[in-house]
Amino acid sequence: MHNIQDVPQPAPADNASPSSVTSVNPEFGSAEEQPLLSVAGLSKYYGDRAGCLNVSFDLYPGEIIGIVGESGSGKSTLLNCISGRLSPTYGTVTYQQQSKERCDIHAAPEHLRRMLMRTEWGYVHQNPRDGLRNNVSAGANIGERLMGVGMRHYGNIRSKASSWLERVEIMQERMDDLPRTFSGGMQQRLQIARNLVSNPRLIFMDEPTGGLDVSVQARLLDLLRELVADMGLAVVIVTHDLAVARILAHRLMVMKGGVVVESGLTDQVLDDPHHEYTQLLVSSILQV
Amino acid sequence: MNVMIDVQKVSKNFILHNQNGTTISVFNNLSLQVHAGECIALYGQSGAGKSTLLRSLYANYKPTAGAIAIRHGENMIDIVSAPPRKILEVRKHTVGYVSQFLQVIPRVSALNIVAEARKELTGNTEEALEKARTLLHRLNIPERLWNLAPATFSGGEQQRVNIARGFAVDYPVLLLDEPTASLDAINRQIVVDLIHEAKAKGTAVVGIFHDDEVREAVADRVIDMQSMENAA
Amino acid sequence: MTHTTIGQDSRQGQPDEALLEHGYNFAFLDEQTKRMVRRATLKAIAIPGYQVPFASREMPMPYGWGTGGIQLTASIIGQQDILKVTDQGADDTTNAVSIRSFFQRTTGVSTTENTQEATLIQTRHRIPEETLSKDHILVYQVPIPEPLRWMEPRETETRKMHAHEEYGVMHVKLYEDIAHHGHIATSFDYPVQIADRYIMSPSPIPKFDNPKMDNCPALQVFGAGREQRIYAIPPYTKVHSLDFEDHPFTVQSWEEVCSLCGSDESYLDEIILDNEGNRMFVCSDSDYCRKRLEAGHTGAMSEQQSDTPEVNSVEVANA
Ligand SMILES: [Zn+2]
Repeated sequence: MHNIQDVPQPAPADNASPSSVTSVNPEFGSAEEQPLLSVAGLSKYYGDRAGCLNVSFDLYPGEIIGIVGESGSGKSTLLNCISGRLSPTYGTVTYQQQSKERCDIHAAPEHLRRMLMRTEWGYVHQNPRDGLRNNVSAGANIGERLMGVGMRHYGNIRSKASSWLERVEIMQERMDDLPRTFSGGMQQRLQIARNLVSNPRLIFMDEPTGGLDVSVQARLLDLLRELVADMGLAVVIVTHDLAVARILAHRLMVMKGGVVVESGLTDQVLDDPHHEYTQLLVSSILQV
Repeated sequence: MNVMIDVQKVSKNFILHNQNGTTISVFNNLSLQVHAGECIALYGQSGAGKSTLLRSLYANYKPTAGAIAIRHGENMIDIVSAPPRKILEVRKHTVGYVSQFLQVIPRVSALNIVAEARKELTGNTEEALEKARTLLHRLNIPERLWNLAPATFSGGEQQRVNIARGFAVDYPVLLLDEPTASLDAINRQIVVDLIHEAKAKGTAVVGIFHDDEVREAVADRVIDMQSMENAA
Repeated sequence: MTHTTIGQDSRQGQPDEALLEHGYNFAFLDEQTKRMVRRATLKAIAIPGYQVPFASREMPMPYGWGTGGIQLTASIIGQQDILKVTDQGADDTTNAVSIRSFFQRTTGVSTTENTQEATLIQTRHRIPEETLSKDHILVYQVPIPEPLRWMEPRETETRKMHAHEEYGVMHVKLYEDIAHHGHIATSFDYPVQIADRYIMSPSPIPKFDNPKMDNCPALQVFGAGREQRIYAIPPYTKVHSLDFEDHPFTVQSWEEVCSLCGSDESYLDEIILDNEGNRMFVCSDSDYCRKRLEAGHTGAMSEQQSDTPEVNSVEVANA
């Protein structure tokens, strides 16, 4: 079960077998459910340096996986490769679409990747300014995905935007205001609403609570936890904050130097860490 | 009678990499079976490994060797080797765990904390809340506290919320880590009653009870961790 | 109205002889350049609404003077064409007059102000009121060809958005209009979708003119000189102005009618008459207004028409 790769392997010439990872033991059933996302032998090189090396895992519908590690550990590179924003040097990312069709994200035509990004997927950036359209109102930010899939009734778009503002605890009076008039926490909640309005199945999050004050963080975390559970979302979340990982993630991958050094059930990894680096992280000797 | 927990030759070492690789061996080759409707009390000095075993039964700790099979529906699932989502499925349906301390989640009310697992299991929010109210009431949590987040509650109140949370689902396997540690006699008795009721429904209970009276009242067998260690 | 037709070869036209002696080609551009522009134009016609890049040339006038439209006109004009140049509906503005005289001198073709007589109409910011026929070609001068620019400044990204038909943001812009003004306030350069595919900027014409583009018998070509883009709407092509189901596209309308010809169907310009705030409304299409006057239509101020610059400016075409 543990996907521990103590020794960095040379990048495989072909796709690494994902069999050693979290494949379901047929003995225990659940064989009928297909992974939403299968990452196999993923490596990204920058010249000779590996940003991430030989990473494999399966993500099932409704599952939340946390990628933890220090900055420079390769977790952002990995997230970018998984989410199709960056081409890996080796390996594949396979996604099962709503239509049940499976597609290799990096081999798929660009239009499919882009379509997924604004319908079945979401991406929550650390800095809300990177994820919001800053020159239009909050309502328009939420409505964009709806209009992108052909919704053409202003009143319906507006009422949908309004109910999403309420869900992310932003006063409806602020619907026509520009995001920059919002506090950091509100902007982040708006970014989340903008992503979730299309009822996605998979959300990528890059340090979603990163730039926020502690009290604001708690509120956002709670909201995220609730929304993700209510909507049954699968999530890949990158964070350096173990408290965030503990509250949100079902399972963790601990990264160091581009390599996944330990992975498993969240509370197991945090309460009974096996790898030297994870023990260091958890003991909070290391300020990450 | 059905075997609910089958611990097979389990060992647990902790290797402290950042303390010169110090290895702490907690137990070796431990085997144990718990049947439906049975309550096992883990007994021994501090450091004997009671808590480590209990956490291993919940897959919170990962044994170094051996297998821990839990009856999950029709199947026996080895939670030592099962993938995370399988373990989460086992926890959701089969294994409940009452820790010593309540894990407080910011902004979530006592009522919702208690109801959450049942709600997730059954999908019936109203029924889960009703069950939560019944338990909070039974455990003497004043109604005015139900809608508050328990961060500001007293230790005893938090512990009772935690117990209510554990008993809100009729888990086939229930793990209790000193559930009565900070309770008065009245509330201790209520917990004893709850355990008896669970056993009567066929729940296999494994607990650490520092209170002799409680242990004697609920346990069918007492496992002396010290002697287990020696026997190995 | 006379014009001469001399053979097939446009180089045998009758441009200003002095210019030819100086080595200028018919219609100013050399034949290689014209071919390049024509190739781009054909591609644009083949992919309605798609912006085709072309190597825009330096023209003897600054950008903003319609250099894109001029290169288009220069590339497709033939000796037999009759050219009309109009600027915001008027044929007598500096811009229109300069361009007209430029082509007169470099091609010697006939020119006209009469929409019906013209075969080639270069326009800035208007579509003539009179219905165009299959014998017309309409050349638009375009300052900013990219309708997505307002939402997405990156050219690399807008090209992808067109390629993948990702047009949600266009409605975001209209949504924003309604949210802030209660209605779609965009009244010029109102975005259209061509043949259910490409979103296109119709150039800064008033949205009043948008319906004229739909299913139009005339070929419509658009040239942006500075931005180096050509695009087109072939004859009889569906042109849909974007809107919402509950906020349908509408055109401007006026309480007033034209003060000169009394028309209640044309696009009206407001003219301030004095410092007391007196004003009048007149047809922006001067040729249309003149024809109505000649046909005997009258408006409130018809009697004073000789006092207004709008009417003074009307002159007989093809001087
Ligand atoms: Zn008029």
